[in-house]
Amino acid sequence: MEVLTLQLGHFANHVGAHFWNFQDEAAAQESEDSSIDHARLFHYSEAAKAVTWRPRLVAVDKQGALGGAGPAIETQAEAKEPDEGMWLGKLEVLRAAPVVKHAFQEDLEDEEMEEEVESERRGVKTWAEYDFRNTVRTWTDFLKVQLGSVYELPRVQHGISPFPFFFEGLEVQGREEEESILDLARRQTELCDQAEVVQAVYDMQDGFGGVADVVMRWAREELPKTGKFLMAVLPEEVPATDRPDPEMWGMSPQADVSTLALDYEASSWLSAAFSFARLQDCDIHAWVPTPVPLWSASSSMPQLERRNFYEASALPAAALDNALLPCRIRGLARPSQFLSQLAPSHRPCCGLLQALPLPAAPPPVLGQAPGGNDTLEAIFEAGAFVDLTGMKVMPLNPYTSVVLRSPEQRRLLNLTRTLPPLARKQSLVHHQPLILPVPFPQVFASSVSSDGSLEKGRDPGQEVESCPMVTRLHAAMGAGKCEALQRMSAVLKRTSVFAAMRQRYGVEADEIREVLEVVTDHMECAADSSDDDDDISE
Amino acid sequence: MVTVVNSKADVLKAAQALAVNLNAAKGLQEVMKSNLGPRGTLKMLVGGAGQIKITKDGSVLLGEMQIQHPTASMIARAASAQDEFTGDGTTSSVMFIGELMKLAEQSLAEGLHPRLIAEGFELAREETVKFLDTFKIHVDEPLKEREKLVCVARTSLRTKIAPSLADPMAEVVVDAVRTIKKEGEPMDLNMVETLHIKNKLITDTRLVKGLVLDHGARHPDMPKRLENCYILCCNVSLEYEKSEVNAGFFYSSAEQREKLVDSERKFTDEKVKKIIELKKRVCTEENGKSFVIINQKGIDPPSLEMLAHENIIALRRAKRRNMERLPLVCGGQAVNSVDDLDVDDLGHADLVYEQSLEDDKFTFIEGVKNPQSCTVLIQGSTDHAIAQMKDAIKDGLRAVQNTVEDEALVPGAGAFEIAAHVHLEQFKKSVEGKPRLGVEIFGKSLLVVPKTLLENSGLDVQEKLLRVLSERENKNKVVGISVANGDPIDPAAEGIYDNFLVKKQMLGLAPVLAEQLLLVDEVIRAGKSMKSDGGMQG
Ligand SMILES: Nc1ncnc2c1ncn2[C@@H]1O[C@H](COP(=O)(O)OP(=O)(O)OP(=O)(O)O)[C@@H](O)[C@H]1O
Ligand SMILES: [Mg+2]
Repeated sequence: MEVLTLQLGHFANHVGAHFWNFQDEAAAQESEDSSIDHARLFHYSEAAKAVTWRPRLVAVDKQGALGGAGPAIETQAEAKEPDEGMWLGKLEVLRAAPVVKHAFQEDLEDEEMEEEVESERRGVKTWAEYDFRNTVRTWTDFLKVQLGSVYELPRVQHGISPFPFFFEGLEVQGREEEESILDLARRQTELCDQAEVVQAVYDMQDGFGGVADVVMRWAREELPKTGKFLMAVLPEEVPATDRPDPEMWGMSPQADVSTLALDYEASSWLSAAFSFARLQDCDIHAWVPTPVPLWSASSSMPQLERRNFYEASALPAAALDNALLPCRIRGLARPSQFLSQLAPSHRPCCGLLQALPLPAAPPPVLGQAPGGNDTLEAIFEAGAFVDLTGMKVMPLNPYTSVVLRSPEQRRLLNLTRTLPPLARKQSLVHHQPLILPVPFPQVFASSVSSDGSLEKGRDPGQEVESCPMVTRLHAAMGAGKCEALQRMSAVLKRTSVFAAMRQRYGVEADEIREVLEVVTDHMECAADSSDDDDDISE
Repeated sequence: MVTVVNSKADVLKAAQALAVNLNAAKGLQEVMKSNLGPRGTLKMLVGGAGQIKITKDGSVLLGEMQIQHPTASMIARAASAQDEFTGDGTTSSVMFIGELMKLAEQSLAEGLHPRLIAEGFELAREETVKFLDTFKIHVDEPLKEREKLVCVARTSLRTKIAPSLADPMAEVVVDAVRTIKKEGEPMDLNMVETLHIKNKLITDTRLVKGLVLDHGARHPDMPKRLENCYILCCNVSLEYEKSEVNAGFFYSSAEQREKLVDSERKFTDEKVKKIIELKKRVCTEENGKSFVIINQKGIDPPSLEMLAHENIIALRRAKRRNMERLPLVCGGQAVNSVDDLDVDDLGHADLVYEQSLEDDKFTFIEGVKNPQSCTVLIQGSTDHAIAQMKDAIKDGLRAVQNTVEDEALVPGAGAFEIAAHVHLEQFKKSVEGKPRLGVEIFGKSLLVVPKTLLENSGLDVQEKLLRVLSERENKNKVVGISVANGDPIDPAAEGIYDNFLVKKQMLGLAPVLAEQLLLVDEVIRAGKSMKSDGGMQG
């Protein structure tokens, strides 16, 4: 019942890094919580007397995006020079400026060396001491787990060559890149006795949308029975070097801003739209857009820096961990089944909200049964949820899955009572809070105590170590407007897009109209009939 | 890893832009030129985190370089297209473009209009392509000319690895190509599998007449070696099916689940039983046959168990390509269903065995008659040596393939460039007016190849070049230069051949790009069309 994870894109890999850090913490808690089946996410092997756990993962990023992540420990011993006899002529050595290892990585390595030394759960230092916010350069800086299959796209240089649009990603088709990526996926699959789930996080605004398309088509062919869950991310802002060339859209630098065909934001949504439309025939069960720019504000995380990849990626990672927890618990229905029932068939668009931490129950009201005023709706009303998607919640939507985790089991069960029966079946109550690894950004309000409760608050210097939490995954169908789809549609309707797309990619107007049709179709099914204050086709 | 030119061109005034283009072209040429030829310099690239890449291949080097400058990256793209299309000539192309630009610069300084130079380039290009057609050597039925094929492979390989390795590998790649070539059908190089095992010495690299798979059986009781085998090659899922019954999380009882599992299992078991029935029918005690299954889809543990019980070797998740290769290797055909299986569907191999190395397993299918697909098995002790070997073999295979398809060869060691130069000196006299200068520049630029070959051998470029040129002018013989002493040599006598396709492609791409770069007004547009054309393949 294995779960294959795909991380495609630079921001997606940040999300993935946090995600694996959660898994690593959870595995360390194994003895206390054996209800989680870690073999679903990790492949366990015993070779040369060493036991290794490797994520069942294929990660793709740009070349050079791994920063200071050096060769795996095993290969470090390898000769650092060319083998004798391979070439008799001259040798020229070209060295890139060395990248200094992040202090956190240094400490992890040391820890590994001094096996089993009595150390505290949380390592030597704290989040504040590592100063992650200002020191993380890329996702490998704060990742705790050793990854196996990471592929760096040749010719696409991190921070240098833009990989601006869906179609650039599609270009890997038929090339060595495609073969290499799919072979990594195949090898991971070969290790699975019975793959149940493909969960993918991908950058929807750039070429990685195209890469995701290629991989998901492979998955449709080779893993037809698995449940397929896609989280489509989009960072708040990318560095200028990673943006599409202004020229690309026929904008000359001298031109007046008002005549610009497409700015970065518009091109992102356009790219996302192509990705979304093309994925419709890949048998996807859930497609969850989590674009940072569309997040609702959260009062529980006042200090979160949305522009910081490392920080912003932590939220979707926590949501992913929690929302898909039902796929990893032993003895439940099969994960593929769970996923295939999340949304109505062929309507994979889903919204996602999370409350991290889950606030405490309100004081009981006189004359009401205890817990009577403690409902998900009340928590929502109180603003404890961050809406990661921008999609209105309909309390009676049967296509809903709520996952709650906290030691207060009875309270959690009580909270599910207002869910419609089908939604309740798809929901889960778990007795362990989410354990936060050291690198998880400490962006909580000072009223949150170290165990994530909102009552006691915490002293300065103390960090939040675990959090009760809730996620709510809900299908767009009947859920009201979906902000992401609206953005796509708005860009697709701009007339300037036609000329720009034809000039740049040879895409004809008809094809753009088809994409718009798909988007509109999903948007309209998402339109809530009782919701009359919004004009969808603005 | 190597930053060529850093300026990010935003607004470029025409004159300034031209200068920048010239510099970018020269800069790239400077980095690449020491690569060229059998006496070129091997490059070891050390990444910021200590990752090592060792290469002598122009296209690999380009892929690793951080090229920021738009012009440089256009040149790099053109050179990559050259490599993608022909598998060779990347370095020469970059140098040719660089030289065209460099020599044009002088004339530009003297006030000649770029358009006139470009016109001359165009005339020279057409003439040179015609000349190439007369200069090439026809090879009738190249497959029968093993010696010639070995020569061209050796020429290519010796520019990438030491002669002691190149020479045996030349035989390997020629035999590989001869194995897969089917009369009257276009050749598909994918039918040569290249696989590496990190083990032993690089000199143990060999051709396996058969197929090697990079995985093994996933059941401890399966045999590790079978002789006299029937091979079933199929694309059939032998994992349990997902039932359509709705099972929820909270409410499904254990008993209910048992029942589900039962019925699902039955369906899969039926399929396995059908295969076992066939096995029992065709493998008798008298014929002493055994049975092997290579499946593209999954096989779950209960199915493996049943098969192991029958002494069958079964591999799951084989590469898609191997489904094409297998029938070519051992006969039979790939089947998509286990209904109506017949002995005719099966292939045959004398020997199937597994080799395991730490965590990795390999399965060898050998002892086959008249295979039309084969495996080049690369062995070696370090990743970088393996990668270098892999690149060299890829180039060698392409060189042989090109020869078979072109039914022609071109004498190497600079012979074509020298002859074409001499030819253009004559031709230019027939050109009226200023474009003549362009023709002259073109002719001179061709000499960059022999010049660099001499330079990389540490020889006196001017003196040696003059000798070779006069040899050509006076005796009208085919002459190349010896990289050992710079003397004129007869490339055919030395067995030094290049591909016709490679030269032709170089003449098709390089001058056209140089023209575009000269006509700066058109650069921006050119950049766009280059990008959107993607590869140059049709
Ligand atoms: N033994 C030899 N003596 C002289 N010249 C040779 C010899 N072998 C090859 N050459 C020449 O070397 C050149 C090819 O060198 P090389 O393969 O390094 O560069 P390339 O083909 O331009 O680029 P790349 O192979 O990196 O894509 C050709 O011009 C070829 O004729
Ligand atoms: Mg070459």
